[in-house]
Amino acid sequence: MAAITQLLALHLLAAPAEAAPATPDMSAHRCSIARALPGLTEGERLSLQAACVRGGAPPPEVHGIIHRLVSSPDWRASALAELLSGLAPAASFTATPSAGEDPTSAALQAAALARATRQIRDRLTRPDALRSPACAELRRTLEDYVHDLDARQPTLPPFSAYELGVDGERCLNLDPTTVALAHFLTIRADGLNELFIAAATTREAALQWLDSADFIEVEGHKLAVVAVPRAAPVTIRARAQNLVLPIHWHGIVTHDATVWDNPLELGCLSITARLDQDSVLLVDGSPLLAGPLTATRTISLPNGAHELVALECVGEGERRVCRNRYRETLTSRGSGGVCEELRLDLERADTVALLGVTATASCDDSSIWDGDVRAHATRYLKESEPRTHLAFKDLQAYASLTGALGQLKSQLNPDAGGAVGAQTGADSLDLLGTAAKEAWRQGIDTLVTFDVRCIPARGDRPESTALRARAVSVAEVFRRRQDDLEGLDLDRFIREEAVGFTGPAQVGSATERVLDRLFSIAYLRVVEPRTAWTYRERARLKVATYRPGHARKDDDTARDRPIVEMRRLGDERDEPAICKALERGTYRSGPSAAELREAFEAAPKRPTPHVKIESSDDPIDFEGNTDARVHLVELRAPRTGVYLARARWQEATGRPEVDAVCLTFRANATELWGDVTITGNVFHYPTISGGADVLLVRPRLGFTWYAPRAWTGFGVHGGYSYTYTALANGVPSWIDLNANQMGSADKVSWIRHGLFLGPHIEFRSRRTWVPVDLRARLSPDLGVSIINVADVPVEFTSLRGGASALDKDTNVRVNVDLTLDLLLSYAIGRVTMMHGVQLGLTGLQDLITDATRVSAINGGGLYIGLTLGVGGGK
Amino acid sequence: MSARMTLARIASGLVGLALGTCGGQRDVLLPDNCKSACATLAACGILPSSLGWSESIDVTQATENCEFRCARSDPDDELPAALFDCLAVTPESDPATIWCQDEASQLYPCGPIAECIRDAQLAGALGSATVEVKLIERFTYESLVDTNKNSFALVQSTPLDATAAACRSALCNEVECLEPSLSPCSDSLCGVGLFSTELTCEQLGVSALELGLFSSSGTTIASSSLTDDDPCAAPTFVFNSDEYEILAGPVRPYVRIRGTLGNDVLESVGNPDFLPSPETDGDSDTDGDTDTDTDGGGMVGESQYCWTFYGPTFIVPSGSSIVVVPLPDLGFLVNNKQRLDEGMGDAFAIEPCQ
Repeated sequence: MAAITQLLALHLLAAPAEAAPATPDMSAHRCSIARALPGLTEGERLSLQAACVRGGAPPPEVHGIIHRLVSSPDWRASALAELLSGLAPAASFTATPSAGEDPTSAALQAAALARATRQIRDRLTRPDALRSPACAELRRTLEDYVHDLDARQPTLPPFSAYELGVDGERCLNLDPTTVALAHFLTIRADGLNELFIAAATTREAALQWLDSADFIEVEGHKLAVVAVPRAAPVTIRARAQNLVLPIHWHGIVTHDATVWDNPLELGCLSITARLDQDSVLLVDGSPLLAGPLTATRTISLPNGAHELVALECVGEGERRVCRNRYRETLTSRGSGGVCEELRLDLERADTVALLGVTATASCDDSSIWDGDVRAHATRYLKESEPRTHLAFKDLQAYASLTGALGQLKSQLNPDAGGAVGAQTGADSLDLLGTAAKEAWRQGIDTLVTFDVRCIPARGDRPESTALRARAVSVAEVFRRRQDDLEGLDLDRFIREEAVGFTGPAQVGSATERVLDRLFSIAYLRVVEPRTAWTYRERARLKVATYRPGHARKDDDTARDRPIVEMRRLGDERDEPAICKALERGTYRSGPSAAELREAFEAAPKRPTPHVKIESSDDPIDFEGNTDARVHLVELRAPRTGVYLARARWQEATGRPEVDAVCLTFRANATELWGDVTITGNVFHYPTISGGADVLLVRPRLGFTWYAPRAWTGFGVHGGYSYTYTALANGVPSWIDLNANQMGSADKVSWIRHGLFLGPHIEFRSRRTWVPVDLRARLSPDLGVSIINVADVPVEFTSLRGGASALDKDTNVRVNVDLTLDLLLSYAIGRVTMMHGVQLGLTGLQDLITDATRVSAINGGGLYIGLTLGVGGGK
Repeated sequence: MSARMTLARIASGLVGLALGTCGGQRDVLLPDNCKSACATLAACGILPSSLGWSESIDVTQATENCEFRCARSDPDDELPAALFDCLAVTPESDPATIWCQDEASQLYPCGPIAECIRDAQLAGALGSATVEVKLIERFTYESLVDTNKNSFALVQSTPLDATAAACRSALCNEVECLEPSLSPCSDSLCGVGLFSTELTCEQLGVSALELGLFSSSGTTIASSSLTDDDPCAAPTFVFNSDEYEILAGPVRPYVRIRGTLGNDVLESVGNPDFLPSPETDGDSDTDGDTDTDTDGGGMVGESQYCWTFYGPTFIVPSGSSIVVVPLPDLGFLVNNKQRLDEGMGDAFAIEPCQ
């Protein structure tokens, strides 16, 4: 007998040495176990917890729950040992009797069995109880049983109803009627401290608590004998020495039996846990660790399935509220002394992690990089903890998560873009469950994945990108699974949002928007802000809004539209402070609404920019979420400068409801231009005014710098002038009086070819209240001209330009011109068209020195010409 | 004033305004001034010339061209300035150059102006004249050209007496006759057909003719002999401006005739100066040249003679014009013997050949 006892003790003691346990006050969590019980509704758990807290006899509505728990095949029945410990040493509960049934009969049966158990204990625990002759047969039977135990031979139950029920049995002297209702379980209790036995019939549950004083000692072995109802499911829970957690036995007792004849096969589990203040970790319903705690515990467990449950409990007594944060069924196996490791991080209540970003193959040639999405999402999730109420955890730190989570990522974001939902079947659900378990162990409530799909440019449409984000609610998965609800629909655990955008610059904004929507955070933000515009352009902004629960039947009513305003802050070179702040900050971390309002109000109201707002009809702005909209805003600045465009709700009070962007409406700093001026006849008045028919063509090429102000320009230009002069009436004045006048009244003509170069100064209106710029350009020119007088008769010496022209047909003259261009200009794309008139004074030197001398070499004249020009700049 | 002119004035004004501080405001001839000046020049027959040209020698066109050129000439320029100075000359300032003493005549101011222009070495501005000198019979002349019969000078000793009737305009040419009022010409002979002096020539026994022109200064401008077999058949000669430097202004045509008349006839004409020269004596009967019979105290026989008859002074304009010189018949010469002897009055001037 002593050998048997030692063997069992060795078995138990042979378990891996448990690390020094933290010694939390587990009694505080006794009643919290009710919240960890699977298979119950939340209300049933609460009722059970309340009954535990109150102590004493549980109310009748709990009886049914207890009966169900006792009937359960796992540790749930043994949890009653803690929950109803106040009822020890025995208690019985009866389910609601059927009509006409004696409600007391079941209770009487349970009491009889408890009485029989006590009677056996009382008789056999007395010294030398088995020495009496009446107990000789029982003693022999017990000794055989102990010998078989020691010899590891099959045993026969030493206590049998048949023997004990024989009328006249003298040793125990049990009531034969009671024995007829029972089967007897002989429990090997070596190394055990206490026992809890729960048995149930169809309507009755019987609970019994035994401690070491109730054990019978036979040849060094300790035994416990319990009478249980026949054919009843029975659960035995025992606390063993050197084992932190209780051990369980469960079976349906159809005959007298022995329990734990053989030593338990123990496994080892190393739990690394981080628990916060309110967390408690239970294994098989027994509190193991309570927070706050960061520790590694190595515990021994019988091989088999064990359930790990993490509860978060707040409050005391009946007000104590617990929430199931984690549940997992572990399987402990003997593994040659190597402990299975389990990491648990339950320190934070709610956490989120980025599972991955997947880009489709269409993004290979795109400027969109999935790494950008990851970086922005990581940053945003970190910064947004106060809003999402989810602490960000970096999955990269957990190499162990690559398995199931990797598969989950692949399945959630297949390259083919297939949807993930209920139709994907049980595999997805299983995978999700596995992945969720991995994530949950790390304390992650929500997993976020992205997939990026690039849509190539087509026609006028630029390349665009669809960014879809999915949030997998791991917590929800767990809550559902631990309730053993079947037919789970993956869509219930996965929220999905998508936004479209163009250009890599919008990756950050798009990522934040889609995350905001995943976490139901309202936003009003300017998206895709191209901040630099030419002052003639209508700046186009998109204002994306999201107001959870604000969807209306009437689409895009004025009330649902944001208010967009714009005011001029100053010149571009004086970059306003608010713009610097907006540039540095993000949507969330930028200037506050008050700062924006102050900057906006400080700007002059006039001139008033033009603002137009409407719903965007861009396909990439289509929002599947009816609470989200994208508005297209057109803004036209009255003139160049830096403007603050502010979008807000009418009732906006906080920063997320106000967004702003600085828009720079700038003029080209330089312009390369060319123009040609044509004039003649009535618009040209040469000083040689003898009925001259003149054709002047004056092409120029110039370059203008607009500095320091956009409305002033300085530059240089050069050009060529072609002047054809014809005197229809011949010699125009009293010159060459002694010349032969034959033909003097006939038409004479000459041509002037000139090259000129000069500076210019320009003034330009740059106001957008008219669709064109008004420009005035003053240009003094210095040039050289070649006058061809071949068609002027040689007799007219003076008309040909003096004696020098007698022997040749060309004259070369230096001339100075002065022109004033009055132009209207407008932009067509990147090209500026110019129309206007040019007032010109040509041959200033001739005008000054010999203003009216009648000669072909006299270049003096005044003209008004039509000018057509084209320019472009940057 | 046309729109173009208006714009030109505006432009000129702008130019002037622009240059006002640099070159000083310049005078520009007003159109009315030019109109008056060119009218004077046209009336004086100076147009067409380099002051106002017409390829077709149309005075009207030339006047318009003059106004055109005038209006565009700078009075500060050398040539225009000289011209304007000349246009400003009054007859009173240089009476010796007056062509026509009649102050009421358009020609009254012309002489000094033309003289001034000539003195300024701007003779081209006066225009060259093509003058057709026609010989007509005295009767025709008096009945058609000079109905007053005394309106032209008959000067014996002086080739030209301008003061007598220098206000006479040249006769209109064929073209001018179409619209005589447009030209400074006399339409006296417009519409008159061919002039024949054959009867008179036969009466005077003319064998040779020479037509010529004197200038206003009395110098011979040009002359041409008509030595045909029948010189009186077409007694006219054109002094073309291309060959003869004839400037617009007063000219006096003349005709020099050579012929043979009986001595008694020559005596009846009365001017001994006209008597035949001694070398004309002789055997005219035989040779037909002279046949002088001095017996019986009377002049018998024939003698050759050479007389010059001056026509009136015409003011010929630039371009083409006609002047006439009347050929007196023998009766007129005899009947006006006294006048010829006195060498004065309104009779024809007659001179012996030089």
